[in-house]
Amino acid sequence: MNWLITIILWISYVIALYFSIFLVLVYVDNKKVFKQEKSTITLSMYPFVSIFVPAFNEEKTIGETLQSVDNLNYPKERLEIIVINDGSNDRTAEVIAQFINDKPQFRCLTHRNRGKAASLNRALAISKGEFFACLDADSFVHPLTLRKMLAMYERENDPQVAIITPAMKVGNPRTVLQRIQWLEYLVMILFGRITSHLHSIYVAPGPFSLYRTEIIKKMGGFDEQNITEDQEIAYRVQLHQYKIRQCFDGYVYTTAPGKLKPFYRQRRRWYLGSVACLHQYRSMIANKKYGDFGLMQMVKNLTGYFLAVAGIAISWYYIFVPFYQFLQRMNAINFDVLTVIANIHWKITPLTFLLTDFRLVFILILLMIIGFFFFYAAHKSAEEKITKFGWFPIIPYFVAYYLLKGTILLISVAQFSRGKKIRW
Amino acid sequence: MVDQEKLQLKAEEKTREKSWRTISTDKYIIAGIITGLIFFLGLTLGLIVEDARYGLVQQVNQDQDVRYQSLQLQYLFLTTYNNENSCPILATTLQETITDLSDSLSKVIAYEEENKGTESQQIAVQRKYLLDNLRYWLLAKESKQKCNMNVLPILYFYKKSCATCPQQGTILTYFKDLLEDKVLVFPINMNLLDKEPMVKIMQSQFNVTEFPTLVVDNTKYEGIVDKQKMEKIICSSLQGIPLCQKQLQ
Repeated sequence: MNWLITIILWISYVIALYFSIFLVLVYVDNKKVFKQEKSTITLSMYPFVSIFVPAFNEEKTIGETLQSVDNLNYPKERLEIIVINDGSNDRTAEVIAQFINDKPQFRCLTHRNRGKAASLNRALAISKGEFFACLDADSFVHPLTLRKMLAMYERENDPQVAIITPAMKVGNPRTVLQRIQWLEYLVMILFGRITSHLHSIYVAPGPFSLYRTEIIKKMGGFDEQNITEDQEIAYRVQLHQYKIRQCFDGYVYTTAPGKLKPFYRQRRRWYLGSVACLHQYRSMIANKKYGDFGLMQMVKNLTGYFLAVAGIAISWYYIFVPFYQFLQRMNAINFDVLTVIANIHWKITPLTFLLTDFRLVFILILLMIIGFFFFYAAHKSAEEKITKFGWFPIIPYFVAYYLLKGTILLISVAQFSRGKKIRW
Repeated sequence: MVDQEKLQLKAEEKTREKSWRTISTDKYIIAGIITGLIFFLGLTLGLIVEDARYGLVQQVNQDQDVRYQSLQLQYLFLTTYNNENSCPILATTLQETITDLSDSLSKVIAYEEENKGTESQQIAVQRKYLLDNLRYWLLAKESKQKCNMNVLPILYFYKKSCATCPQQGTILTYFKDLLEDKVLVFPINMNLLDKEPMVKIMQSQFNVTEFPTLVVDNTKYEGIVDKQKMEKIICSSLQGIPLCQKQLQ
């Protein structure tokens, strides 16, 4: 058992190190491109754009979401906003009706609860826009984002670009968990930039991805069976050899779960959805036909989940078992922990390091350095201060957050394999 | 979707296939080379550190030998000249040496067990630790009589498979820490029964059948001795312990 753990650990470290170094190389090689990259808001044409806002029991946030759409810097007559009330049983319908009352570009569809993908498909069927965007009812779009994205379509001037993804930030983070996610999302924006460069984006975030209507319609719309339709559509677009780009400063602000339980539910859906997508689109894994997406991103995603499960299981084994033994031993002395602490020999001698495995520590330190590098670069790229919320959220972000996410992944997979049905 | 549309989609894909996808071959190779370099740098560093560790282990063993010789000589000197003035020096040296023994050699043993040390290497270190413990135990018993030392030597028989032994170990360490090394614990690893004749001698001397077993001042305690019981045993044999005076009041 011991040697098996050692081998798995080594393989995970080496693979993680390999992909990290690869991404660093891509970033460093294209640093100039990233630095000079600038978004413009000048448009030569104003294509007709549809915006879908699916809402299910979102009475608290839907008003603000619709307001952010209304505030978009774009001619109102070139916009069509379709709000879909997906069988809400709270005051959502009222709030929508009140808001769109005097605004002709808004309309509302209502049906009994059928899920987000079905709602989007229904809106897609009647939409007239050359492009369409979805906006989750818990997210808010920056007034300039639509212009920036359309300018990007114009600049790319390529009918094969099917999706432009936004740069997603956590809106108004209050709790520690939200602030940790705020840091995480910033790093995700940077990874989005890098993978956009490699044509390897594999998720079109629910809040304000801008799609080319014709292509999505041709592909049959959103998959109503999948619990993460925003990942599924991205994989499918890649499969059909269309392009996905990221608009690195097209900001949207989303509400991140502030407490552990909703956070767990959100991540469980993401992780299980992506496992399902990965399985469904496995033909692209290590497939040269898909360039860097097949060779790097698909392989990285596959090994990423596999290694996360293995790595986390092992680290829990290393934490839980010793902790249980520690409790047992403390119980034997009636938990007089103070005496134990007072007698710990803090003196560091060469013998202290006798039991440390220097080779693993060496690679771990390198991984940490790369992690810090991307963390710093992400803040610079998004023009945010690292200590915007102080140092406090940074420590759990680096120390405990991956353990938490990995644990959720493990529990989700365990639940899934026991046949528990996961709903949206 | 209609079949015709599907076919059309497929045909379109074909025409697009190789047009725009990129493969960053150079970066895959460079990343591979760097990963390999780091890996081998790590391995080399590991080897160097391993070498340093071996030296460290050797040094620990040497130190122990010298200390034991010093102790033995002190004791011999004491018995020859019957000079009890040197008793305090002997007592301190004894306590220090035993603390050091449990600190450093137990780490060496853990290291040998965790790491690549061969089985014969592991057994050699374990035997050395056991023999060191036994001779210090004998020395402690003799010195206690001779100098009327206020210390309590405890023989502690344990086995790897014994479930309550870690708890017993914690209790013993706890009192050792609490009483500033007036309690001297000498662990005897009974897994070495077939490998070290001294273990057999000790087993038949004290007729050890259960684990853990403690021998305190020639009294044998079988099974785990919990915190309260341990406190009573200690208080009946040691004098001037603040912990015990509190109990009396």
